[in-house]
Amino acid sequence: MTVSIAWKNLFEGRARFLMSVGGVALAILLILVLDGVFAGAMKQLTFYMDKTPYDITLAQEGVGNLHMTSSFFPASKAGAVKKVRGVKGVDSIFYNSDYLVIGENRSLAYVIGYQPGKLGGPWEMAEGSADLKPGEIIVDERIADKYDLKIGDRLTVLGRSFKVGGLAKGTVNITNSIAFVRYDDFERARGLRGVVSYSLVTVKRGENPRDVIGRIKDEVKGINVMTREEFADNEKRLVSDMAGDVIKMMNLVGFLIGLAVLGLTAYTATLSKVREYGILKAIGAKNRKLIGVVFKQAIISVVGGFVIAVALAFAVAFGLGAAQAGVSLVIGPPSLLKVILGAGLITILASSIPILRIAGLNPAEVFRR
Amino acid sequence: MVDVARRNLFQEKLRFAISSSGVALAIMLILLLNGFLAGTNRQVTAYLDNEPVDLIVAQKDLKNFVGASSVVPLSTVKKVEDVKGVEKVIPVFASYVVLDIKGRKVFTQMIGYDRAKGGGPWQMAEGRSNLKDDEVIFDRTHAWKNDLKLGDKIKILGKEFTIVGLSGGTSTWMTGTFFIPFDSAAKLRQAPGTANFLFVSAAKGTNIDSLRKDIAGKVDGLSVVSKEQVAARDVELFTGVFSGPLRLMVAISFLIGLMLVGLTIYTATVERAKEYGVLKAIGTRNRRLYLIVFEQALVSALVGSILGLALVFGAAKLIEVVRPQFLILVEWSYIARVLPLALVIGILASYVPVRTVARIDPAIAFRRGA
Repeated sequence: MTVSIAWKNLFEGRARFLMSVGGVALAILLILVLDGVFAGAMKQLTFYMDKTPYDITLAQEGVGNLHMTSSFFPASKAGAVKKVRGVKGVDSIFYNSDYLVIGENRSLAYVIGYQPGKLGGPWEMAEGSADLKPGEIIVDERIADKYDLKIGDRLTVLGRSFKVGGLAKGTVNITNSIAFVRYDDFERARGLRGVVSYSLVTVKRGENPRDVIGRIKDEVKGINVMTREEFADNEKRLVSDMAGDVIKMMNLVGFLIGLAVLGLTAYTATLSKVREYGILKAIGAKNRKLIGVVFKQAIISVVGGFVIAVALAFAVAFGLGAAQAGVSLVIGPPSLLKVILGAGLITILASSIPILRIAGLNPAEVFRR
Repeated sequence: MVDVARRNLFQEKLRFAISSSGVALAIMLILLLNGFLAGTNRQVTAYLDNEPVDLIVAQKDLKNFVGASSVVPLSTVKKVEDVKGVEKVIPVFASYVVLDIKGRKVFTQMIGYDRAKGGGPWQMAEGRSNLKDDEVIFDRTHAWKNDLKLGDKIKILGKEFTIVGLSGGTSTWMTGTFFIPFDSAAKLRQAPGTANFLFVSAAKGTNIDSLRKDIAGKVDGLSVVSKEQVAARDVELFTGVFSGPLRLMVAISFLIGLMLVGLTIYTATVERAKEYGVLKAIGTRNRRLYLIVFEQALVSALVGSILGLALVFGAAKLIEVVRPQFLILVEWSYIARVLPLALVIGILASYVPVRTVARIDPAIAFRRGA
């Protein structure tokens, strides 16, 4: 019965209903997109760890991430880890944060020295090959596009000139991009001997990485051993603490304004039908039923707006991906849950205010008014 | 006519307040998020903006100040001072260091400045600015974030310093700045006889570009760049790839904000459609009807915009008090672009529903109105 009244009442003023759904959709879209930008930015931070198929990270003692850190430990330690039971392979990389100097321009990059054919190199190529020749470098396709770099062009990094040998996909994050050079080129450029920056360990089939970490810690001292996920979490936490603060704050502001708009929309929608609710009350509708009708209308509007907003948000995310805009939008279950809870709560609260006033009146008085 | 529009508008105060609030929230959204972006850019160049510098001498090919690694021999100071039109030359050390504060790794900008010539903090919040060799001035916000106060001791690159002053306006949303004497920085960096940069201020009336060329002619193997050029490149570098998400958030908020303005005014006009129908039925001409509706839309949008501005400035102040590492720059030039656009959107949004009423024959409108 209440459902039927709610539907009829809602659709009777179709334009009014569409407007309130539109208001809800805009507010939810705002929240979802801003949330998605933050989630997307955070996800980009750990692409290197996420996309490289390994299990355990070895780093210098006291070093737990990549960003603004330098890590060097004896290569002999990586060699010793290879002999630990359960370890399938150990591939080492060099790492340094440096500027790619492209003509007059400078672009901050994580520079990775990897051994072609082994783990640690680019995971997806847009152009050229990941099998680098000496003196070559792989940069992200977006950096190449931004600075008009083509395969065969030269740039300076690590104090040396390199020839662009390939363009990688998806290595740009909110703070920098990743560039790849050969392991031996990195070693020569930095004058390193007998050390590595990080080692990427894979475990044998059926082995639990945590068990293998325990054995490595027992047998090889003086290095930091962590799972790939812990390494990624450390990276995310550090960068999020620094650069993520402003995005978080903007996201929060957008969320609060979005909620306020939702509240205002729900309040207006209920208020515009206050006369009809008054009539229901005057002809004897009980308060419980009246409130049920209002809440159902509010929920129908929120669900309608939510569906439209989610569809639009995914369209924006798809559009950004297709346009290779450099920013990704991640709309995941946490965002959706946050929106559903926030929107549901604020809508019920806002639509309660006018209806509670009516509910408090005597039916005869309503009729007179 | 004006009277009819206003009376109709203010007769239902609650409805008017709701539509104005909708516009206010939309304006607040647009201006506040842009304020964050403008503020982050301003913070990057705060140090250069506040120092007495027209030109910067740096290592060859270097055109950045923030995050740059530059070495300039101190012997260059005399050469630059001797150039006609130069008023002052300040050698400065500037680099990022990772401090270990109470077990946390904290990324901070270190400035080594000349106690006699300048280059230090421009605004003291607490404590004193005349430093001894082992004393440091820490940014107030950064100190607060890391639970540091006057008198605390802190290790910088292995040497202990005492915090004797707290500076204001010297932090960005990412990092803070601390100031130590130039000679102490040189020792920490193990780079005696060098500076990272030379700040050159020109004598009054000197043409900066000519002065830049004159200095460049005297200092072989070094770059001489204008402060504005360095600041612009710092903003570009620091916010380069990082600005992508921020710009997207600002753009999305701008679009959604304008759509909200449109939807709010549209809704308010639709809700008065019946009254417009009555006006039409009693013979009001279309021109007059449009003028009434447009005036109502304009008043709602204007009142909403003013309310939105008040909300923006209030929220910006509140955020800066609660989270002082953020600077929210609500620029009047941006306001001057957004507000007229919001008013135009408001008028357009009111045109759509009233057009339907205007097209109806007065007799039909009378029947519908009844």
